[in-house]
Amino acid sequence: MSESSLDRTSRALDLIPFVTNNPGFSIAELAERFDSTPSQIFKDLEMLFMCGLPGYSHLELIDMELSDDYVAINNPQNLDLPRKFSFQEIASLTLGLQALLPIAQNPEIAKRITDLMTRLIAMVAEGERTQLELFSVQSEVLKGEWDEVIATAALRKIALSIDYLSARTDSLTTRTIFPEFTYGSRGFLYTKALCTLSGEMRHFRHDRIIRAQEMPDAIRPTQIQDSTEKVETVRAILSRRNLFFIETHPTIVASQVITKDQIEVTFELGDREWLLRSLSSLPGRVEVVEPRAFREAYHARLDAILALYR
Amino acid sequence: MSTTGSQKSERLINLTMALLASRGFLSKTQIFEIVAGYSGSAETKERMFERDKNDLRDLGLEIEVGTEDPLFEDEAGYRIKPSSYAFQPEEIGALDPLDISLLSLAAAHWQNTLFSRSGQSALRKLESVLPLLETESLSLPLISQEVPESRFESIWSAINSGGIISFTYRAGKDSRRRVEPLRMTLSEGFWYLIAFDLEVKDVRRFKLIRIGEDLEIESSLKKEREFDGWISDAITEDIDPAHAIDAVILLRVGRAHELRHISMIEAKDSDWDQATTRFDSEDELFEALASAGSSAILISPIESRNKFVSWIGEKLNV
Repeated sequence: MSESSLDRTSRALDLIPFVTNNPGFSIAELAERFDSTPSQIFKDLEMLFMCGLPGYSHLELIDMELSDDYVAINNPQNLDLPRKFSFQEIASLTLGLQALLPIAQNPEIAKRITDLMTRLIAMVAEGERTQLELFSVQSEVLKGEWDEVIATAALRKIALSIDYLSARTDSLTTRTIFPEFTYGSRGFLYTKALCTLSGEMRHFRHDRIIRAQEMPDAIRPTQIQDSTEKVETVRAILSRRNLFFIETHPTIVASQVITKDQIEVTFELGDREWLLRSLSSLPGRVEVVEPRAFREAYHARLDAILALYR
Repeated sequence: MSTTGSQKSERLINLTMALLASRGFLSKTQIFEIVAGYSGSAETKERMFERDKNDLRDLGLEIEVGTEDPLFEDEAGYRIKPSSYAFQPEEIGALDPLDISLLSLAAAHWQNTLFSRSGQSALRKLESVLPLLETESLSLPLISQEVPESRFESIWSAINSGGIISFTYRAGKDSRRRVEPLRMTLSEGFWYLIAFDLEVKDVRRFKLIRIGEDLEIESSLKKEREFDGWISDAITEDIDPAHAIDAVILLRVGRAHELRHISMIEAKDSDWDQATTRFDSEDELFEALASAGSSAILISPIESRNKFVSWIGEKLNV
């Protein structure tokens, strides 16, 4: 879709002070920074060559140096400062900080977040402050006993020995991991780490880690296996009560058709065991249509549960 | 971008610069004389200027209207005060590398187009006034919990404009809803609209992802309803303690680790342990049991045990 002249004007007004204060960026770097294309940024800058103060002599035009790998503005005229923050810009940062607050365990960082929020809110026009209160973020995550140990290991780039409850295989294993970073998702904290047991990058949910111990002398393996699993396509029919399931896992849903009573869905994923377990614990009607082998495994799992009650 | 579009952007920037540079108010006649890009008949120039003025206001610029001579108020003049245009670093105060890291994390939080674009443009504005921004390594998790949502921007506008909206809502079944939007909240990755439902005459919570593409904004109607903290009751999950269930479950030795993790465990025999666990609802109990597969047997409550057998059977009798 082509962009509007307003979008382009907005970007150009932001480009001038940015380039003035940060000379030396290439066109490609500016394009990345401004979420645009190099050809578009080049056109913007070419246009700005023609802009200036009334009179439009060489002394009144915006003066810049422009080549593919070097852009500088020597005289921005009266556009040397960016426009004031918009309401959306302040809302984006304030609500983003609000999301960080519940996970900040260090009181100094929590205080800093609150302070930044106060400073940003003070920048909102008085009449718009109540508008800002109409939006809120609830980002509480389940805190785990080992969150700080994991965070420290990630910062120091050292290994941890952990005891981990795997829901996928219903097993308790001890493994050495090299934490990369921690992220929150839907109420839980996860750490992406190199697992020496599997030789792959894996995601570990913090509340399933029941012991963690620093291993400063462990040596990080140089070889990481390709964790690409064979992708399986599974077609299923779910009752509409299970809408939440496809909403919560959009990355595995290849297609979906929602009709009056049911959802016809095609999943594409590598983790077959996870899908079997997930489908069997969904409420209401859950029919696996194909492939046959998956359908049989699903029925065998449910039959095994029922056999316990006969 | 067409040549016309490019010319329009060029004219808008020239107009901004002229209005910013002027100490007094510039009349339209003066603007047409001195600002590059205005051409054609008087009527054409007039129309162009009116559109340009609205466009600059849409970009958030405050265009003041006034006149130089109070005795001759018939021709209005225009200007942009530099103080209302430019972001001054003093407005936010000093920022150290830790502050910048926190702001960057806050901006990176968003998946919705409106907030992710706005967050990044705010950071670029900071980079335009501050020396090269340094960041500090943080041990804070990256919260990327937001599910991308195409309707966010329309509903955001509806809330800010105060209009009534109607849409098809896809929950257990499709239904047409007409509501007064009150708030939006992000919870566990999903945006929710808290709104007064004009049909049921009560506050309801709507998951944005379930709101249909047929969203209509009745902008002519203004909401008059006052609201305050009581709305928060509507957005908290309703867990009724009366529905809580104390379950006794047998767990196969060495298996069902998730259930073990949340239960009181007693050894029973060489094959089974006995777990006692409280669940918020029967649904939660059944999901946990089914997830544990053949490694868990529900012993009590007996009514729930019978219902669980039917619950599993329902899946097989398709």
